[in-house]
Amino acid sequence: MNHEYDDEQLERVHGEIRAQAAALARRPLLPRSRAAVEAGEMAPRIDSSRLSYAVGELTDAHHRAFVDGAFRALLKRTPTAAESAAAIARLARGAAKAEVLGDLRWSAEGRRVGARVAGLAPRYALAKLHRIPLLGPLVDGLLALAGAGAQQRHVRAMETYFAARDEDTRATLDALGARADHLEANVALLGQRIDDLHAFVHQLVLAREADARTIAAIEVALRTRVESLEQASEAQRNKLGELEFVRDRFYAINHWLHRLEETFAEVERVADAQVGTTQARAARIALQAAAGDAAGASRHAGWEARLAPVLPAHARVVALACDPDWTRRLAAHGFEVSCVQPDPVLAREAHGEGVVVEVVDARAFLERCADASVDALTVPGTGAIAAQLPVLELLGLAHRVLRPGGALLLADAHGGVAATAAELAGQARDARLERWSAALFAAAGFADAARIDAADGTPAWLLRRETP
Amino acid sequence: MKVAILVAVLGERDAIGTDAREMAAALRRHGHEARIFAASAPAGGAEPLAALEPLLDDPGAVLVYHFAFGWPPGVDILRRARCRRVVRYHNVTPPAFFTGWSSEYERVCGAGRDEVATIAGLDCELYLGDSPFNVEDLLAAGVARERTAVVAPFNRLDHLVERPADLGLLDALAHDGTTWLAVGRLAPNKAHLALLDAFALYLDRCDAHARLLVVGGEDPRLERYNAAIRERVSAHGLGAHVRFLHGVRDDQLKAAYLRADAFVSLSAHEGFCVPLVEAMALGVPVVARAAAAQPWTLGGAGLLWDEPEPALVAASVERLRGDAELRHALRERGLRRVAEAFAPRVLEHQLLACLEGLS
Repeated sequence: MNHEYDDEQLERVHGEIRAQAAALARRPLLPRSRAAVEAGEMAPRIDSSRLSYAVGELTDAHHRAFVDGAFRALLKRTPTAAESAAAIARLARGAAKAEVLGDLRWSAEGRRVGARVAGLAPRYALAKLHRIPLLGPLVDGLLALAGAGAQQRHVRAMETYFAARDEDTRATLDALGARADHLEANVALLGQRIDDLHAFVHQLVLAREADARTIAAIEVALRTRVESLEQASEAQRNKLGELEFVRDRFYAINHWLHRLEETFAEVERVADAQVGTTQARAARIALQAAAGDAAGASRHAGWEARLAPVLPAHARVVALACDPDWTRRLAAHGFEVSCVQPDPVLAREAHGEGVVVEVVDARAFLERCADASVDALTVPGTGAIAAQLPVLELLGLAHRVLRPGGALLLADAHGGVAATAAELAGQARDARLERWSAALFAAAGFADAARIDAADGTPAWLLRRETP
Repeated sequence: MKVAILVAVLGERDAIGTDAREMAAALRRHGHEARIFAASAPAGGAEPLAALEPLLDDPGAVLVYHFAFGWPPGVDILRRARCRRVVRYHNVTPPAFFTGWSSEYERVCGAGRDEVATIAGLDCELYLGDSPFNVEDLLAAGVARERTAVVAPFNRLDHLVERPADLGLLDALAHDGTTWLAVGRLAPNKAHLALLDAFALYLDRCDAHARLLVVGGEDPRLERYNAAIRERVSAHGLGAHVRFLHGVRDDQLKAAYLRADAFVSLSAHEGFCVPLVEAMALGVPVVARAAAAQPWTLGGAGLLWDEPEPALVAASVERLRGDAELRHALRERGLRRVAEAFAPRVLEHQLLACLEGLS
């Protein structure tokens, strides 16, 4: 519902009300409801704004209405509760209304108001005369005698009046009886309602008790749950303590490991330096040996003469532990030569001779070559690589990388020097080719094994990979 | 700040007595020394006029005179005072309203209207009107506009809203038909006769079970007016439908408001009209005459008519009875009006701003 009215809407409502107002007069009269409020609170009473009354106006009323009217007319106010009670008591004792009126009118307050009541003065005087001993009763008797006829008429009128009132009273009593029956029925109904309410209250009490039991059960369950949670919490706290302990230990171990790694690294660094020194020394010895090798060129020429003819044009040739002269001879045939020299000192020396050299370990080089991708593999100095790649392993790798029919040249040039260098470095030497035979090479997968020893006695073999 | 609040008669629950008492309480809450002085205080709470004398010569003090009817001693005190003077003007009913009803009232109100001009001529530091309508009166009497301000009368709305209603009366007033409510003493300017005419029409044409509650004191000095009301009740045959409640307590007044479907005020002259604010605060929709201060007090939160034509008033109540949306809209407007303009904290703020402006 929209409660917001703007001024324009209110103005429109005013217009509609004007139209409704104009139509009101055309509506039929509604029958009045008499039950709205108790009647009589503002019933017409003596007009107290006047100052002149006839005595009959004031004496026609009875009992409390008479007293109220008398005060309003003569004193211009309503009587207090005490004044009203006193006046009614006087009337009950048989006082004449004229006497009550006269006492009010000629009281100090009444004289100040000064209301005029036609016919009151003689009646008041007569009423007062009755108070005089002897004379009062005598006058009473005379008046009673004189007014006997009127009194009889009055009595007859009173009989009629009371008969009418009696009928009214009976009707009223009947109405009251009906009302009482109605009230009784209502009381019975109320009693039934009260019983219903009692039953309902009883149900509520039962429901409340059931709820209380449920709540108590829930409370117990909750308490149990709380206790178990507290226990679990305590266990968790203990585990946390243990975890703290383990963590401390872990940190300590980690610290020790770190220190250990540092120690190992230092040891390796010292060892590497030692190895480097040894290798450099070995390389210098090898160079010294090569420099003093006057028969090198003739050896190479002999092996070239045997190898080159069995290779196809542009053959791919891998030369392990090569020296510059040997690789230049191969390249001169147009072969694609890969020269592999693991010793950086020797590689640098070879590089200086204008040959492209790959500085890598012989085993690592062969391992990364594809299967059957090489036409020829030459190892002029098996002794130089024997420490890293023994001949037996060399044969295996060569069998894999050589294509079927490919050539393998093994020689042990400078075998003595290499053996000496290896011994100086504390390494075993296993490259004495003179011990090998064709049968042994055949067992390794090579055929046509031919001894091509050099003129200076250097042992050498030329092998061919078997063809499947 | 020392503040002397002066009233001729300090009533317990009438509008002026409430304004004076609550004003003093508000000033005290803000740390000022506020005292009330009155020639008569039936319910207590005031000091005699003699105790006021030392303050009149204190230039640091402020005298606030509540002026609502002719009272020569008040004018005399204002004239003698050497402190700062504030006239709190509640308006004086023009004597013409009492012509033919009460010569005494006519004379007193005439004297009061004459005193407006006298007081305007005293050149007081501040003239506080209950409403812009009252300020217009002062301006017409010659007061400079810059010396005027409007502060609505302090009230006991919080008390009325928060205290429980008289449950016995609330039950007794339970009723099936529409209930009209009029609050205010029985006085000719309040236009009760027009109210009875409008209600009779409503009873005859709209709701045969309707009922009119008239809450307000009956003044013996206005007996002719009271008699005229009774005659009008009798002439319309309204005896069973009109109920007069005299001398009600606050909880009984609240019960009457809670039972009312509409608050009807056809008064022709009001300097502010506190009952309008009470009706708004208690959510009773209002139908009123657009006369004197009533349009400002109502602030658009009711149905206003320039003339109290019975048909318009009856149709207004019927519309309110049948249009819940309009009823709610007027109720919300009324509550907003009370909160914004007549809440005690608003009035406190306005009064303090005015008094601080004096220094």
